Amino acid sequence: MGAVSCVGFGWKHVVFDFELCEQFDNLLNQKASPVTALRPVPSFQDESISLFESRAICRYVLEKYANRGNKRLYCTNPLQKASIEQWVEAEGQSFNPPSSALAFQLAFAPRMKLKQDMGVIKQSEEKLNKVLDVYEQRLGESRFLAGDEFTLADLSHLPNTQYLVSVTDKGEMFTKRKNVGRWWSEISGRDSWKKVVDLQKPQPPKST
Amino acid sequence: MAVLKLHGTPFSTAAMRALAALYEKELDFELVPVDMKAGQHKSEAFLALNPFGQVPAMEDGDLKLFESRAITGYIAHEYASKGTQLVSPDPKKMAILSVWMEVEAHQFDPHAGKLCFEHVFKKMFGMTTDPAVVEELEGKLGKVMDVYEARLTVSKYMSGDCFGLADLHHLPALHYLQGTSSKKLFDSRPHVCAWVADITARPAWGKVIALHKS
Repeated sequence: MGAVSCVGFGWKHVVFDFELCEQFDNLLNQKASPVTALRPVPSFQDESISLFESRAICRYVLEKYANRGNKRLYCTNPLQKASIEQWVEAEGQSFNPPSSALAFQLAFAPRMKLKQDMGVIKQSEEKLNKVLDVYEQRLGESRFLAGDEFTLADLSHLPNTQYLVSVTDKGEMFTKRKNVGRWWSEISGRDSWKKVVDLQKPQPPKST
Repeated sequence: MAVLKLHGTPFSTAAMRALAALYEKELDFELVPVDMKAGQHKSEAFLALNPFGQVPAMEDGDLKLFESRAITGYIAHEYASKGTQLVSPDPKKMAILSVWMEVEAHQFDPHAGKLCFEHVFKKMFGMTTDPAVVEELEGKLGKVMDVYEARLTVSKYMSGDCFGLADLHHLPALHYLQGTSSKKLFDSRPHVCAWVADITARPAWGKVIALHKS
């Protein structure tokens, strides 16, 4: 089974769905390879292959283990897969930049004793509101982003939204919107996501 | 009547990305112009194709798609047997290709796209390039290019042994930046320089650029 290296802020991009894999080795391994110097986390090793970039890791794992666990995360039907990919790209291009900037400014900068940039906060909030307006309309037409089933497209949104809802005062951006609020409640309530969130809590020391 | 339609303008980097894939795969398609100056991309009809109001959008029969990299991915897989092979059937090679596709989208494009805006699109809109912004962006993109130089020292293409989507996705920004002072970022790194020359010389890419003249 693959080993995942994740360090600190990289938890933002730990999107492994425990519905797929029962366990990981060395989850808190702090190594980062030189190739990933630009953005060192997460990195992933599985047999002979070494990967970085969280969405590439997800795609590889979901393709390789297509017959394990939740089989509907990343459909084999090409038309449905195209629809999933469209919303994964929308997450990466439209949702991630403002949401990760907001999460950094509001959740991480204070912890790292860095000065917050009020201009970035205001701009990111405006951009994210426009994106969530699109999501509100979409989620009024469809239970999940790519259709009736929970897929990689929804999963990709979990980390940044988790930070915004649980650690900052911007959670209302999601919960005040009827359809987005319903969707967030549903996807964050999944057992698999709760297991990921639990990993962030201090782990009890292992007995020797 | 063409079954495949691409809605957009051939000057948009995202639309050019999708056009490159269509030409590489030698597919018949119709380019449906979107008049962005007139705000057509924010019209109700276009928002039905892309709720974010951005080009391009694609129709293939009943399938409607937006996001250029989802469009190129769909084209590459659905028409795998036609034209240039842009993805790999080998899962491990595909995974590596996917890594460098993500790098283009999240490490390269954020800086390269803004540089294109400063150098090229601001002038199109009658605005002035900000040299301080250019310098800052070149600093950031330079660090990315160092990683690319290392990658291209061990791999002929970003995608692997052969040209693929991870290379193709870079073409629009590379094309625009090659016409600006920022081209020094590529010229100064021998493997990057050779790679840029190789991929921008592809005949399919030439067809995309030819649309700028028509």
